[in-house]
Amino acid sequence: MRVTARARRIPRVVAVVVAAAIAGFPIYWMLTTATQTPSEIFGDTQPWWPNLGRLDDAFRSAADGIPIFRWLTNTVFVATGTMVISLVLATLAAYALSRYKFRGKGTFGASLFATQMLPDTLLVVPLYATFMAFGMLNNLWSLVLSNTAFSMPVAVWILKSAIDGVPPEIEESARMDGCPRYAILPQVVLPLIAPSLAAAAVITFFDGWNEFIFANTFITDRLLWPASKGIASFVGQYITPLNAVMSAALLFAVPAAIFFLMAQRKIVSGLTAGSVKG
Amino acid sequence: MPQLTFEEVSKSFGNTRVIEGFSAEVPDKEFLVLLGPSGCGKSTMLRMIAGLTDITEGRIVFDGVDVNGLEPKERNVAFVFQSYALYPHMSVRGNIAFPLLMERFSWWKHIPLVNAIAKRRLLRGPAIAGRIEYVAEMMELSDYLDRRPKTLSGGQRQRVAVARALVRDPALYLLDEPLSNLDAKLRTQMRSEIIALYRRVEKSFVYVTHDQVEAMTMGTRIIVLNEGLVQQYGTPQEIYRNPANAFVARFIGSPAMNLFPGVVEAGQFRVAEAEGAVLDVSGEVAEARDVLLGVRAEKVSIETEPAPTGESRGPVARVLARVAVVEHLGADSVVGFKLGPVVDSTEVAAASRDLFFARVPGDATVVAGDQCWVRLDLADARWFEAGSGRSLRSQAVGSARVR
Repeated sequence: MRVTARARRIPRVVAVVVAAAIAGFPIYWMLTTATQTPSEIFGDTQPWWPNLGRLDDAFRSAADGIPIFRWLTNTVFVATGTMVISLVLATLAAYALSRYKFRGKGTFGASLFATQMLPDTLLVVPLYATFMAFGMLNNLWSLVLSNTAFSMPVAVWILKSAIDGVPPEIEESARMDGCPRYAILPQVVLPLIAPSLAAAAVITFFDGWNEFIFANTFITDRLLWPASKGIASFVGQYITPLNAVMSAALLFAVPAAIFFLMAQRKIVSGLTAGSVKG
Repeated sequence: MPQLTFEEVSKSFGNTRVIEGFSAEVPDKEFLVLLGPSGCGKSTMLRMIAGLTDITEGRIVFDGVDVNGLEPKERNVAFVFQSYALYPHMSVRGNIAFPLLMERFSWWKHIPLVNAIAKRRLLRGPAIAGRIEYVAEMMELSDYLDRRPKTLSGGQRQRVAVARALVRDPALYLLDEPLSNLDAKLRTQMRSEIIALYRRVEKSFVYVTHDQVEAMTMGTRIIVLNEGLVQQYGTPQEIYRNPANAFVARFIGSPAMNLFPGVVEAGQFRVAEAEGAVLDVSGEVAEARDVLLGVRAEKVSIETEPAPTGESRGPVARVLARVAVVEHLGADSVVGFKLGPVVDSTEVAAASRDLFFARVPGDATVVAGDQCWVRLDLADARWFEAGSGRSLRSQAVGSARVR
């Protein structure tokens, strides 16, 4: 019995290992390339193993003459700004969409997808013109705002379905217990949708973190570049220092990974279990 | 504290009327039960008292004060939800403390970080801590104060919900079918606990249920509702003894009141289904009408011997019948029967609908298929109009419009 049960798990384990290998290989290769010299990379046989001893050197060379930490700070600002503004607006919009009846509710919900239906490249020119008119070119807020326009609608729909899952009696109960209307959302609803909030936070944060096209267009001041644009600038017409690109990319990935690990712990389901009898 | 007054209260959702206008006055410290089948509007009525649902027309008055425009928290009422509606992200202590915290919170204490600090400080304070201890002790929750609701059993969650209502010491307790999610044994236990609580706190209760046994055992006053219309308002005894109409007669009591259809002619009641069953009812009810004769099951007895002639007179009447089903409950048995002689032995087994019932001693020996004579004690019989179902007895209190 036990043997067959174990044997049945083998295909699943194999599938997971293969998937993990496919997903993890680029990261592994990033690390490998970052720690090798250009001659090794472009030599006949590129070594398969990272030379971890050179890691320190690699980071040093990535930062050499390049404001990589400045760029990372810019990226953190853009990603955090996108996340915070998206979540605040999305929570309020999702609550209204979930709980209130109003004229044009369906239209409003659907029109949130307007930005999702168009490729962002199409909007680069109109947005550029808009930000120019407001004197916001070369300003990181232009990136925060345009990224929010794209990530907020997704967050609205994630949070709306989460709020749909919170029994209305819990809110009514809070009203009976003397909780003012404006406090019901932070006191009762938000703690219950924490997993979805975390999921929405991850999505909106990475929208801001990875964004390239707007950063490439709206920001011309080298010191204001976010890291996505900065790293891309390593790519030259004749020479691309691949090891430096990969070292910078590692630095770029590490804070994002830490943020994800922190948020991911919150993404657990079943918090509402036990409130109302199912 | 409050005397609860309904003044022509009605409720519509859009164009749909869910509660027709009605008025009633409930004295202070009563245990009022709103009773009716599902969908009759009883929960809506409770929510109107609570302030969770707006009133379309009319007024609800607590002690002479119109509460129509007041928020739930301004009405000094507590609500126990059918689903308990506990806060799953808080411990039992947090759940019970919540109303107390809200009383002491000004707006800025709802700001997320400030909130956590304020909560912690208040929870440590002797006023709240002592009150929680006291209520937890009373509801036997002291050992569970630091647990989350999801780790509790249904009965314990129910207790937490009641404790949360209790902690604020409100003037009026509103309970929306609080026992319907519990199993039968626990339900009986919680029923007596709620009655004990009512006696101890000496406040007004309004209790919604579809279970007439709960209504009869718990209520000091009952409002019977059907399809948004108040059928009757009175004490359990009044409603049991003098149902205002055929609906109430059928709804209250287990088994329901027997309603024998028939015609009254020349002081004689001819039972529609039974040939030759004629009861002398002169003076009891007006002539020449299609009526329903209502007799409670305990006023019906079963006899297996034929009647001596000339006995079907006066307040006691005998009618030929056939036994369809016998339920032995232990101390007594409920016999379901149809009127008329045995026609076909296979018919009886299938006939489980449209039965009349008799409550007889537990040692009764009749079995399904037997022929028998039912003896109707007409001393407490009630008469209803066949079409409208209205009660025809002058002493029957109440009507659709109660005062």
